[in-house]
Amino acid sequence: MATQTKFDTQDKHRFLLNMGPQHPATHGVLRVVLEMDGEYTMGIDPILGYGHRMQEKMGESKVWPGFYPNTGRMDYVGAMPFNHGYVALIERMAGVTVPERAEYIRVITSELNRISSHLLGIGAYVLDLGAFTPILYAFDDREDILDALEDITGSRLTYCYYRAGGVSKDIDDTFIRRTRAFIENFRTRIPMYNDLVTNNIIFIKRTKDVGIITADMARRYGATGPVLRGSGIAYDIRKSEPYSVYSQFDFDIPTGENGDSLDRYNVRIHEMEQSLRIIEQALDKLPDGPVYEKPKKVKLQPGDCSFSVETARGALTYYLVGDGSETPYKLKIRVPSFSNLSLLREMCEGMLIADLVSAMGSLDLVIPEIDR
Amino acid sequence: MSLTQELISTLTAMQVEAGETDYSKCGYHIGVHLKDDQVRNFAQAMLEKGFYLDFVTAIHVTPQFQIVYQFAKFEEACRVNAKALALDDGSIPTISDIYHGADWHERETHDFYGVSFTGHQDLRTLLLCDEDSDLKPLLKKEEKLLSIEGITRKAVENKDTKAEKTEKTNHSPEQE
Amino acid sequence: MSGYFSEIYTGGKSLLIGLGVTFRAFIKPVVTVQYPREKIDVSPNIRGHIELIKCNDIEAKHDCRVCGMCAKNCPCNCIVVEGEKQEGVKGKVLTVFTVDFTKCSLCGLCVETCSRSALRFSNEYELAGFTREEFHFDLIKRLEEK
Repeated sequence: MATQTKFDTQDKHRFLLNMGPQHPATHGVLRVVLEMDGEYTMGIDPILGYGHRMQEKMGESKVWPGFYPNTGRMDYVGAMPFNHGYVALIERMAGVTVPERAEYIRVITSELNRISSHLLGIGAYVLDLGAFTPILYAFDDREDILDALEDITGSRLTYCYYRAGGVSKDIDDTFIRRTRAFIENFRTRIPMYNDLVTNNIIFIKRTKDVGIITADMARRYGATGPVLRGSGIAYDIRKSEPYSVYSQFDFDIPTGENGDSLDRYNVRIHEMEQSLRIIEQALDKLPDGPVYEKPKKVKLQPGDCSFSVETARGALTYYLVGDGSETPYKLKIRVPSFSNLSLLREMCEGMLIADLVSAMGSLDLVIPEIDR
Repeated sequence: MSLTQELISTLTAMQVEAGETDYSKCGYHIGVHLKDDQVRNFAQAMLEKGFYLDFVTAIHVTPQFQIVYQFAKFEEACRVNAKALALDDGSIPTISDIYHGADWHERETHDFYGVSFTGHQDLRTLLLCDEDSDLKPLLKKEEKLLSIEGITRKAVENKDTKAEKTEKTNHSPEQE
Repeated sequence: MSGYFSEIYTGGKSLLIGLGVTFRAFIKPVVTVQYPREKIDVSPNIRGHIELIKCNDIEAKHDCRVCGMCAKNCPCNCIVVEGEKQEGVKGKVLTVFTVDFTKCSLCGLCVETCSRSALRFSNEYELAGFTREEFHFDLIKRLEEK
């Protein structure tokens, strides 16, 4: 969090504008200093760190199971994949095997969480653009997911459900019935979202050709997730480095064409449909058996290890260095929104401030995840 | 020729030490060891090969900082983990002008470890506030600091005398 | 020019379709619950703060043997368990069991590691207070009050 901004406004026509730290369109405490020329943003300097909690230090100062609850508190909107990355990293490091049923449960809950995250992302994005009602529809659907997940995980947002060696609680028939009902209901709701938001002329005018990210730009900045897929690159860790049992499911990676805000929004809508497909297949194939085999005392052997998962916002990498004890020597958490936000400057320079809100919202940022 | 082998031969031609690793154990396909003056050329080569930068971070070990760069590819499953030793004064050349995304990663590493990236245009604090810029929260305390051998993967396959030697140093990091 | 009018037509139509969606929602039953005047049942599995499970067939009313695994495994160090030796009783007898709920992150490691299954999550979700001390729960006292 630098107090000194890098702008030197000698030019009398230019002025500085603080967007945030408390601004409805920043979805958290993010401050963006804008150098304005009239309504045009000539310079952008995002200032991070208002929600910084030093999660990496916490990871290095406790024994490894002690970091479980922290994983759910970085990206509070899509916490399951963050759980997944950490436990899978420990499993890879210690060579722990996971019961098959647990892997299926992980996929089901992760995908449900992805849908709920995208629903909130879309709702909040449209809210940024000035349409208030869609977020209420999104919350209505999201509520079904949260209720179902609450029943098995015990929490509504900051899940701490996965364990190295399985999951903490088995799913029951109520959960399966609820999930199937949700899938059926949600399939009819997606056309409703299209009627309400996607085809709306005002929405299209606000998002089309706004905030274009080219494939080359995404590569230079390391953007991942829907932000990258909107630019036409079908990159998804679930496909490219399949973890858990993702390789057993049939699903597509939706992509956009122009890399503008509208494409990123559309990718999210299509991704929800694909997630429904994955959940359906997983429920059909769900094997019986145990869900948690507690590993014997795991010591983190000297050496490094990394594990990447696909969260709702992109590629998440945990990188751990062990030293033979139970406490990680180093734990690096590479969060997707961090890289996605870093291209804001290049994406938005010279843009109208109203378009900047639109372009920034389409990145679907979760600030506590960036700040960690 | 597969991408992994092709990349290794390209890197070896650049006199960079690169080798295939066991993905199921390490989580990356290629492990690379760099000298500090090779970092920029290596990053340039990776960009030309179409890799994206996953993250940059540092590991606090004796005698020098180890800087870790991880790259991956959109088109194929190929994850590259590169480790470079920083200079004695804790500096290393920046790659933020090659990979623009490295800008923030380097600023973050500077915040947490005090590694200075020479040539970086803007090393203001990123996540810490200005008053805490001297804090360097991820530096290890003296008694916990290990040597590079202490965090290096033990060779399991060939249990020759050399491997045993490293194991011994692993168990007695305090002596260093 | 024709593009201009066709855009007005398709744009206007899209707005009317959107209004149709909101109108249909308008005549549907209300989904919002007027909390706190109206409450819906919470799932019995939700994670509130931990509590000791009541066992009526044991004299102490709980099955805790003061092994201290919950306190040891807690990542937040918010559990204090103390016990003492008493004559005529095998093992230790629980004297203090407190949890500092201000620090607890509800991960559930304590409940999982309890070898006697003497712990569980409560269903308390409406907790508010003016001081931190109000969230330092004495679980033995809680058990006796039940």
